[in-house]
Amino acid sequence: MTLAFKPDETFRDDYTYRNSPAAIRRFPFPFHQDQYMYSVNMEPHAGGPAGSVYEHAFDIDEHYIAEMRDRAITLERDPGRCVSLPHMMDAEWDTLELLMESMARDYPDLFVLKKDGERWRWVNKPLGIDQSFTFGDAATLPCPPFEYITRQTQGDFVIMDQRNNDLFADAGMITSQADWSLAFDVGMSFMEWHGPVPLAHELGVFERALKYLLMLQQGRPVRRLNWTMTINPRLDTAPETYPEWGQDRASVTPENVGPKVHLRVELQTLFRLPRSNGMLFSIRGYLASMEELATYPRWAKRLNRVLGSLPNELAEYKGLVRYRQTTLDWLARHDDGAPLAVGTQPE
Amino acid sequence: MSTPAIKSQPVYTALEWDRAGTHHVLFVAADEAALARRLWAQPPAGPITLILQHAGGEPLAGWLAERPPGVHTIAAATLELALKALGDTLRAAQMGTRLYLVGPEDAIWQAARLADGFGMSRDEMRLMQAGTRARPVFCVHCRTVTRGVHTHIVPCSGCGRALFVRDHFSRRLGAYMGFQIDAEAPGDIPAAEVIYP
Repeated sequence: MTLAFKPDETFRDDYTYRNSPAAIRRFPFPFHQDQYMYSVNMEPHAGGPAGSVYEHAFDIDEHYIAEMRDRAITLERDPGRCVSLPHMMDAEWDTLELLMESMARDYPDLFVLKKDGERWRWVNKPLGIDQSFTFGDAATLPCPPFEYITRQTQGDFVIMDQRNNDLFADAGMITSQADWSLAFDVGMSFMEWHGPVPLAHELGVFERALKYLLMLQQGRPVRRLNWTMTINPRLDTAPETYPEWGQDRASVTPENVGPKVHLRVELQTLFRLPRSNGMLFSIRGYLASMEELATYPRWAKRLNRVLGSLPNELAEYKGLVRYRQTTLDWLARHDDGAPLAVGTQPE
Repeated sequence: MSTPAIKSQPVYTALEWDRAGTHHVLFVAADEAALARRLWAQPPAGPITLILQHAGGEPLAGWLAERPPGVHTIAAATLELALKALGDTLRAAQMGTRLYLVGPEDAIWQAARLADGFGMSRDEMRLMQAGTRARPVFCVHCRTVTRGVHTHIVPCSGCGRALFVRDHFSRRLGAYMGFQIDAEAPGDIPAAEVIYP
């Protein structure tokens, strides 16, 4: 697949981010029926249809260059968005290896990895990087290995350390999150980290998810989708900068719903790491505006029904309360009420 | 004891001696006479060190009155001095040491963090909240910890923003999360109510 990057689009200030028709078509729309509730919903991450976001281990799309620039801006403003506790160095190298090998294998036109024993050379053509370094020697890279490679990979990343039958969020590169703070949460156990999520604990979702993940095997990654909504195509919706973007939630009007309100879907994938026995958690976000989604009527209808029937606790937690009704009024115009068959497909 | 709404919030159970331990360090920052009486009634085997933080004046009487003989006692007039004494004690501690932390969350979690630094695992520590329910609050915007917070909304001692005190708790920071309550509607700040006496 040839990717036409859009290097100049922005995720802040003038918000010039848009999806091409091809990007809308491959958007990982998450609702296969008219109601939504939390579930463990994990499945093997073992590829998918050509061109889909599931095809490769780590999806690279037309927004790659622009997203990496936005990450660099966020890190410049707040270096604390990348944190790694001291015992995580083995897992950092595991992550660098997994990401470099996957990207070079899946996108040979864009990324090249050459190995001569521990002497590696990494070429990232879209970002214009050509780096020779010694695997395992952090001094041969311009920054620590986890930060180095996640500055070059779309999506947020958490590395979880496995010990005492639990998973601890002990490292992260988090610049495009749905309102959770790495600075606050780093070091937390699985249950603590997910503590604020409503309803799911009572359903036993996290207990089952943890049990499942503790058994995750190397070479057998898993995936699930999660979602929220974001006003403006903004990646940095962190609690840290909430004073900057909070007011956007009050800015939605019947006239601007189409371009301003975005569905934000996370393709979450989990990979066992070989040396450290840690786990890489990739949170790969996709943003599509209401008017982009509505180019497929099926999706507008489905979203109208899901959003309308969403329990209040979830709407509150996801921060939708101020603009849910305005958005529903807009979506309702695209919904004829006809039954929709089960499935997430656009047509 | 009620179940917390948010799972990161610590749940404390009544303190008991860990009789698998061979040396016991009791760090106390609240007068809790009934607990003192209960613990001292059946002391464990092995040496006991009592570090007692009191806010000047009289040391916490309940803990002193019924001590069994031979308890090594260190009184400290401030939390800072008590933590220093704890550090000195743990530096010399051997395998088999058990740590008991009793007091307000601000004090016991600072002590727990200190013990982490000496390589003690959470299995070797027992914590019990006692005394004031005031919370230490970490401002997610400027990273300042505001201490002794009794209300659900409080001005950050660092950046001055009106913070909502969330039940989400970080053991590593020993603090609850605070975020700007009026970020979506500036100036819309409800009256602060005393919730953590």
